[in-house]
Amino acid sequence: MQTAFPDRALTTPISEGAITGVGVGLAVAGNRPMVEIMFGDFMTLTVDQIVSNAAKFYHMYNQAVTCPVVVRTPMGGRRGYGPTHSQSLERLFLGIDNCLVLSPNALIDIPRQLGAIRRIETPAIVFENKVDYTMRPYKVPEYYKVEIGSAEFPTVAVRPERVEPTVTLVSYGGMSRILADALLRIFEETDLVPELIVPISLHPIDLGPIVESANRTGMLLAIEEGPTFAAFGAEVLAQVSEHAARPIQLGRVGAQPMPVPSVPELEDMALPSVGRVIETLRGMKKV
Amino acid sequence: MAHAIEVVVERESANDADGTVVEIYLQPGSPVKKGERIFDIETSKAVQEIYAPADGFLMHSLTLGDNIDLGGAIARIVADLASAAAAVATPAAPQAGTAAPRTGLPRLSRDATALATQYGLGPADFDRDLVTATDVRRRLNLEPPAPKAVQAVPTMQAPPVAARAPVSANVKPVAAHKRDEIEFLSRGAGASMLSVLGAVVGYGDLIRDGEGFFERKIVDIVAFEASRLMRAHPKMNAAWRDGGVELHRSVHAGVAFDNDGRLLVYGIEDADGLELEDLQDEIMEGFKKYARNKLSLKELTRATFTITDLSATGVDYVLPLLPNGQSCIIGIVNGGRDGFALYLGFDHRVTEGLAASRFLAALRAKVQSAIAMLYIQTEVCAFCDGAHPVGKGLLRIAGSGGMDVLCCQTCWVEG
Amino acid sequence: MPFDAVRLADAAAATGPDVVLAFAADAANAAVMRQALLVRAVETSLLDLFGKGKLHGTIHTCVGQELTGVTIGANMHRDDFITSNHRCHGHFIAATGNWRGLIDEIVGNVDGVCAGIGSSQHLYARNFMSNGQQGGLLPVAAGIALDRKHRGSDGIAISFMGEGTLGEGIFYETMNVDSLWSLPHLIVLENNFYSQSTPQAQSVAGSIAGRAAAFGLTVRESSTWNPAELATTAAAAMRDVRETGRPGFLVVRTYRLNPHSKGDDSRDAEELAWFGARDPLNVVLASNNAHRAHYEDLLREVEDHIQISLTKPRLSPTRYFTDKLPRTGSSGWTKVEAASHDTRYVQQ
Repeated sequence: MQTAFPDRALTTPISEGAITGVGVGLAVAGNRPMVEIMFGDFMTLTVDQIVSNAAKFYHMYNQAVTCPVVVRTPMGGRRGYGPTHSQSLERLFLGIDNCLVLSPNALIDIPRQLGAIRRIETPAIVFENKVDYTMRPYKVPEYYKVEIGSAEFPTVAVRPERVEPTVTLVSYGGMSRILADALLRIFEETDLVPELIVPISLHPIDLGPIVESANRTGMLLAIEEGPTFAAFGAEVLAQVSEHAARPIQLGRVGAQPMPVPSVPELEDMALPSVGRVIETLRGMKKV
Repeated sequence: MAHAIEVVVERESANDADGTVVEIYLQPGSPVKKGERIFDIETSKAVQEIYAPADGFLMHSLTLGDNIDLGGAIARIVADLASAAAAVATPAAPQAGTAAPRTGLPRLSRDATALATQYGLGPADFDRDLVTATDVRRRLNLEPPAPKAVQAVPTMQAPPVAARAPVSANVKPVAAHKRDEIEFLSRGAGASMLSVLGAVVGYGDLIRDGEGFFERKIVDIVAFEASRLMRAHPKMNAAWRDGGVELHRSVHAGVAFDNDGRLLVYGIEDADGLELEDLQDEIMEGFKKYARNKLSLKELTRATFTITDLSATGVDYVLPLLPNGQSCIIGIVNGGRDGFALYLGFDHRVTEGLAASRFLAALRAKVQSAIAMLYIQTEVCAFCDGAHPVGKGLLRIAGSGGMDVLCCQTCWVEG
Repeated sequence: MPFDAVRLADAAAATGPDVVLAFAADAANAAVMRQALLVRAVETSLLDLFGKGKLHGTIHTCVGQELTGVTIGANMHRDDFITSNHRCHGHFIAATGNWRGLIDEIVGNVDGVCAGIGSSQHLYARNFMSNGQQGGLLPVAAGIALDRKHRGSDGIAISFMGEGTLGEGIFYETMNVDSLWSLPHLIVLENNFYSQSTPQAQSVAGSIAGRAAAFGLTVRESSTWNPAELATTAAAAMRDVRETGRPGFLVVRTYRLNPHSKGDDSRDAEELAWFGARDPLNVVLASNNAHRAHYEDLLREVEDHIQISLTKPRLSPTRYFTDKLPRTGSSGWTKVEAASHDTRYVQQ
């Protein structure tokens, strides 16, 4: 990219705050900048620029200016990179006024997922998952199909082709591909027919498809790679209980609330796995 | 296999978990010398040349463009072709997606497999994609059909195994006016072909002394009389199939057992030929097997009509749902004071309301008279000679001479 | 007199009232003087209004520091952009001249430059923005400078900061980027010797000018006590940045006569009086009749507008509580093929 656009793809110093701020300035001046933070863990250094500048300008300056800066960054573990290079910090960035949070997945082609990003008028954070970079094309399990919703940043659903699902799984990003690959295993081991709902927009949430599915199945499990406390899954559960047409049995699976260790065995235990999802679903069934 | 040597592609960078096969120099089974170049594997960083680690025969199942896991075995070298025949070359684990080979057969969950195996069912017995234990129970008529929304899935309409014989000459297409009626009914609010009639059987306070299991039941009498009535009412012992009516050749009375949630229908073979005592024995036998989980698939699926007895539950109405492959189900509930009520559920496509009501009226009369003939027993008050049903209204008191005597409540109160 | 004040007094004493009066008397400087007096009239009136309990929130005035902003403002081109901080009234008036919109903003009515949403610290105009955090807009200004550079415009970005912001890392990150990428960005540091109430000796180590010089920025220094020298130095700093496309750093020593915000002043009374007597605008108003008369006119004009401002309506909530986020709500589903492209890519 730098070869093709030498004056538009800039090599930057390691200054997450400053380069995010430069992106904000470019956006205010009418450009559509994209800032890349090499590890999502260091998004912490961009917070002032995102919270107090990019997201705030629109309302604070009485809608006189928009700031469509895109900050993209990879999150996630499973590479043995250890505590400061394996986190999933999405939850720290959810719910910032006027700040879109997107998380693409390895289920469908990226242009279908993020095509609308050229048209947005707000700042956007795009949380990718570093494991998704190594993914082969997704092969839909037998008996399943992939669908997308009609929202601007659509929700992806991997759902049984001909039978009614009996449990709704909600996940996003890297975790969604792990689950999408394991749908048949989850079915076989839990006796539940899972339907996987994968929003691309984490804030605002495309709640319709999630509630729609939960209303049908009556059981919903939210799975994310980061810890569950005050995180995406928590928000999904809260909103589903507010808006569902009937009582829904709800559950969450996420990472242990400790730093992600590098030791492979411990890392596996720290991060959510298909095994944990199955275990949780079995527990929910018994209730 | 002891002589097989694995060909491993080493993982050279933290960022690559896999590679692509870009060149294959030797086909499976080819003789190979140690150090001979056998594959080129492309990763994000470079193309790795893979050389044979030993002499022997190369076994693999790679094709160009395959993705392989770095750090794992992609092929094997065996010492001789005899062992090669036994050795299946290790392909790259098919971990791209979990795309299992498309079998076309339904896939059963672990619980579903366990249950299906118990009843001798296999994947071929199901018409849906993903079969849960609930689906297996439905298949065995052990569970009510799925709710309406689920029934919308066309593959759900599997008939019970016993009635699944190929469409036979037995099936008689219905007349055009009947087809119109069926079409008409299917558009109604209920959109159901089930119709229900009810009748009360009154007989005073019945105590079937010494009957044990049947002490407060009439399920055996209903089964006995209904089975016999089937001869005169063949359409109650039939099924709607492929747009026509199929009359069952035999009468197998199904008795539903529901011991706290696990509902099964036990089919009593040729019930129309059994004496009441035999039929009682059959029901008892079935119940014992049910309790021990020993009912065979055949016993569970052969019923040609069903009786469900809810009289012990205290409910006084039931809308019995027809099992697939049947046209008649009889529900027994409490019929108010001093009696039971029978509710007949029938397939309106198979039979008409009037015919069904005749069947029910006949059944009630038969049951009523059977009760009257067989079971009403009374005891007598030692003081007023009034007759009372056994165990009802009579007190056992110490009479003169130290003997227990019976006394009715009226006499007791009046002293 | 405490140690700090003595040290500052030396700085202020280097010039005298004669230098200030000579500057004020020169017709060529009339515009700057009038602008400075306008800022003072507006802020003095706002303080008065605050004292009467008519203002919501707080204000940070630049009384004593006005000449910095207006001197920079006098040299602005159309495509220049100013970013400022919490003490931004003077910079705003210097950049836009829209003092009525500023009063409306602080009074909180719908005609305010941001309809009263931002109030004192959060102002926006075509060529201006201020925000309440320390140093947060410095990289934003660098981004705007990068935009001007890409577009081949002669515009430059100018950032005002106080010396209290020297504690923020983003300042150093920004200077590094400015210098690496040769951005037309002038950072103007107003050194009033106090971070709110913390004396500089307790918050800044080493050399202020040396910090910027180390990143390769052209450094200039001046003070508000010598307006003529300030005018020359500021103009040179801006011209330099504009012509070379390289970042610059201008340190202006000055003194804030009022508390940092409201009611948070622990400075020595004698020190305050000493600087009050040497404040350039106080010196001019005491001896220059023409400027004093003009100032009194300004006070009346400002007072008139405040009376109007107090009667204007507030912003409608229906206007405020809307957002630009993309609409969610999937109403239909389309079956799609799974990802057909290999998403694997090489991470360097």
